[in-house]
Amino acid sequence: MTDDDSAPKSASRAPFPRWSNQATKLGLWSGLALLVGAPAFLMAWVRSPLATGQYERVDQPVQFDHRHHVRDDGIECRYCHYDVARSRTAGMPETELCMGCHAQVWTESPLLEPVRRSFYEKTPIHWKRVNLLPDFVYFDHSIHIAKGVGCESCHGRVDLMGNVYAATTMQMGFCLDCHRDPKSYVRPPEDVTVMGYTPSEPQAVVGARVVKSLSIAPPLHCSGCHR
Amino acid sequence: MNEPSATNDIVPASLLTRRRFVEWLGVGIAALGANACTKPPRDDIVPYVHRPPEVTPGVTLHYATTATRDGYGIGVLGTTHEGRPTKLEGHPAHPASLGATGMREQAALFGLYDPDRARTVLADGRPSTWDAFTVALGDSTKAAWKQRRGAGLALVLPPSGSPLRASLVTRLREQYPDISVTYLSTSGATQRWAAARDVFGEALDPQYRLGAAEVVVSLDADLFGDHPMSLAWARAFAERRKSVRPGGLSQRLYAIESAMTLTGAAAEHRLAVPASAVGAVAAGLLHAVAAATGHAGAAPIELGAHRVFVEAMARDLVRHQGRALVVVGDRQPAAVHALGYALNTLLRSAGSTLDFTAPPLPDAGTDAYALDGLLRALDGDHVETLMVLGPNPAYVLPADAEWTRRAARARERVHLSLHENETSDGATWFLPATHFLEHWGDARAYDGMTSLVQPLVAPLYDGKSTDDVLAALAGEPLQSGRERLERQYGTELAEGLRHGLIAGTASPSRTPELDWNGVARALAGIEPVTDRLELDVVLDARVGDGDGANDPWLQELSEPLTKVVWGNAALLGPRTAAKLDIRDDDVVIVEQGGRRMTLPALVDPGHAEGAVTVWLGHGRRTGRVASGVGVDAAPLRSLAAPWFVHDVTVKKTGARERVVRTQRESREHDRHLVLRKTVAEWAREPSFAREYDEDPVSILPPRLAGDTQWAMAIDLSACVGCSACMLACAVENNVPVVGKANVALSREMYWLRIDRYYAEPLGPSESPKVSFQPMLCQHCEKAPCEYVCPVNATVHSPDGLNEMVYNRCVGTRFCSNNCPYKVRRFNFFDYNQTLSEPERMAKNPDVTVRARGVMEKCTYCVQRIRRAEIDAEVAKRPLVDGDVTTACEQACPTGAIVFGNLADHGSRVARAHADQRTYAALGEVGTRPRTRYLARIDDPNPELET
Repeated sequence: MTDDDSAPKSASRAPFPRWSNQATKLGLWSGLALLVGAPAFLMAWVRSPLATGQYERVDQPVQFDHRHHVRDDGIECRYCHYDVARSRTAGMPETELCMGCHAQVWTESPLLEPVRRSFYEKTPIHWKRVNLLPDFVYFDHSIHIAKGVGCESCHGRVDLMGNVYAATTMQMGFCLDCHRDPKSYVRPPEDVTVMGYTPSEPQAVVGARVVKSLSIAPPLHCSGCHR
Repeated sequence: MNEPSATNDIVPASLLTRRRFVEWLGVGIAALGANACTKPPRDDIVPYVHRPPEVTPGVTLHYATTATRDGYGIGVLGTTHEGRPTKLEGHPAHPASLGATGMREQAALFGLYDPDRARTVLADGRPSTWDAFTVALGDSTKAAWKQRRGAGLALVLPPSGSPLRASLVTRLREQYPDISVTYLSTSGATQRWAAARDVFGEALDPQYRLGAAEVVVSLDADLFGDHPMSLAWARAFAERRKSVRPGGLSQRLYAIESAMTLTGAAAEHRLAVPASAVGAVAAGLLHAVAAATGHAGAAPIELGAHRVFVEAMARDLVRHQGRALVVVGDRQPAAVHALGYALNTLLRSAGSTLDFTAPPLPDAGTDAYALDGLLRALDGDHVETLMVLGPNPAYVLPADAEWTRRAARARERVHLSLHENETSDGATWFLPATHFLEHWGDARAYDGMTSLVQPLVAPLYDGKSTDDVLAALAGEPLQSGRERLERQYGTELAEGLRHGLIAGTASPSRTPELDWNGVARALAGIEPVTDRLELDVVLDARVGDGDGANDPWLQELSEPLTKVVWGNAALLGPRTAAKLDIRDDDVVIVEQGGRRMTLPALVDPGHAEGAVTVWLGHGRRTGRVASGVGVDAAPLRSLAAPWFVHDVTVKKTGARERVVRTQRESREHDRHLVLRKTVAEWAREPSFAREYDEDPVSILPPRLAGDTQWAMAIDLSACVGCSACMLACAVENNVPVVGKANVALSREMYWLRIDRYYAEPLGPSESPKVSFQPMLCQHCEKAPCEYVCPVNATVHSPDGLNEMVYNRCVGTRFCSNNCPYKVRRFNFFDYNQTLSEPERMAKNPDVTVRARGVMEKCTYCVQRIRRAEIDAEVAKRPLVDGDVTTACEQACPTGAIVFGNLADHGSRVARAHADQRTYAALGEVGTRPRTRYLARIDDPNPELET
């Protein structure tokens, strides 16, 4: 070998400065963090209220207050949403139903002006949808009511809501929690509309009894909900 | 002048370098991904103001109403989703439907939502209003008509058995005694009435009792096609076929026809002769039967090569006297019908296999059904006001009727129609009509049963019905259709609307006396057989006389025998084609006396030699869908010879045009897809089907177990190949139409197809044996598609369904490649994106509308299964056999398709799967399909078996 005098000089001059070791480590670690973190962030994002619209209070054309109607007046869910036990939709009350009471009470209230206008002009009220399911999901209210799923279980304490908001994500994981383990969620059918329901006995006991008596076997296969 | 870009690029180089392109590609991909992060927009919930008591949002309603074929009613039940009609099903209590529908009834829904429908009144081509028309039709006009007793006023109406229509016409005739009323019928119904008048003294409709007949001879009659009674006949035929036992006779069908029809395909023996020669065969048959039954017969007629066939057939008929039936097709001339009536008399069919009833159509068999009177009046300028209320004479009439020229001689020309079409050109008043799902009315079935027409939806556009216009002509006070019905039926109406029909209104049967002199006259009028080439014209099996031509569902439906979609072709027998040196897709000129049409040819193995067949109903000149599809046969037709044109020449042009078909391979290549045995073979080998139903050794998990296991059975003995199921499936499941160019690339989407096979070997002269096999997802227990899907988009449900999850599918198409049955369909384009607003309303909201890039296939109508399951659970009752019917099963006129729970041993499908005839298609590949077939059993005449 013919080492010349330039060799030691080049050896002392390292190709990278010393801090580059830290930088490389930092780069590798942050790369790894990004690799794990970016999908994790995205997955968290789609589950967050920012993406799902959970808890987002929706302004409606009529300032309808469930707190007043449910708590003060003691009106049951099914008085207005009366299709819930026989149709896939719970149904929104027709204007005529509102006017059934409001032709007699609060007849002058300015808050009810849109309702009266709808009734006399025969133009329907355009309510804003709060709970939105994708089009490829075929949810049916009637079967859930028949099998003892409380309104509250999906819609939350509507009796405590001014402007109604989505209380749950209503994503597939939410559905499957119950479909996989109904006994932790179901209640006796007579209690489905109860708000703030607490089982009379431990849920495990009540749930198991309801599952047995209503022969609850929720579908876990795709076509149960997707067609 | 600007210099063109030196690089000749589409985009200037400065704008898009390769590097920039890749950058934007990245941005695009990122943007696509980001798209998935957005929330769908909040839509509105719009409840009723006053809710109709019968409506529950989310729950479908069904209304009984009536569709018509050639003026005769077919009862249907219309499904509506929140007031939007989405599907028509057969009315189980209606005698012409028995719960079934044909392809035309299934397709009728599109007619309602057709974006080409006329929307406004036009006066001399300019937008106008109904009020303006009523004013034009004012008191002075009517007074003038009255003064002339209605002379100069001519009505052209569609044939109709409606009692309401009849009473309106009667009232019109009372007011205007000299009014001319013409019914424009494109079928040949007038011929059977003329023959009946000749031999029985009155116009009659024959009522065939196919269920009682053991030997049936069809003389150019398509029993299972578009006759108003076809659905009921197909049912009766299939009931006999399904009850077949080894060695036992069920029913033997002979068909004598030109181009192969459904009847010819179902027949044990088929004789292919040009349609004009059917008369000679009928005469020969009459001679042979008369000789055998000891009647002084007619002089023997020269039958040539057909003698053996005709004599064997005659002996068979005579052996089954009293249980035999001869049926003559509507397009045959009156003389052949007369021979058919004579044959049935000799065979003592009356009272057992045949009844007669007075036609429920008013004026049947009178001059009101003949056109020449009207045409003469037009020529003589005796028609001042010509009102065409419904039909489209400018298209459907033969060229020598010269409708457009003649109609122009009338001063006022009013045209009421669903579409602005060929007849509307130059109309002084064009009036938009209502679809039958939009108006009130009534109808009578072929057997006379009265049924009601009630609207499923308010008129979408500014239309009025024919009855509305007739009532206005009669100067009657403005009434709704419902009020007119109330006047007609009084208290019976409410009950009638609930059931859809008025009980006890079927026509009483008659047993008329045959006049043999009439038969002798008919025999003298039988055309001798010639060996010159003739043109046979038939109504298209799908689009009829052209009124269905603007319906893309029908255009994309394959013609049952040739599997042609989107248009027509010149069909030729193999030997005739060889003689003329014509191959498939050669463009030919069919010519007679200087009148010609140019269209591609198709060699049809079952076609009679010496004839060329062209379907009517194509080559329309209006309509976005219809125009430009196929070729119109009108130029060669004439009023004197609308169906058979003698002495035509067929010449090759040298050009080629592809006749688009959905099936190009017609042989099974020893794969035993369709099992077919004779009763004798079955008796010799009772378990023949088991051989093809093996269960090969497999490493895959065993079959599913559970209380509910869905399965299907299709009886090939019963299936006549009518294709109603295909369309029922497409309508129910939102299956898109892809168009001719895409079908040519095998991209058709229909989930259910009917495969047609010709038996091997194919003799040179004999008519090939044809088998139909409805082919849909077989829901294999060991489904090959499921193992290859990389994203688990196709999986198995515990109740035995092969599920397709659209929102998981990424479109690799591996599943389709691995499917031995080729029943999976891929959305190459976003076919549903381009639909117009009215077309979207036809979609079934219970089924996902699939997007581009998604695989789809038959789901066993899973939406109906889940609906029935939920309804049963909510009602706390068990699901019983028959609670779930698939769309194909519901439409099927023959009951060939049975669907149900295999785990319920008493269910129809479990019994069918246990039948001796049952086998799995391609059973040897070990997929264990849940759809199984019952072999077709024929009962041929031993004399004709070679």
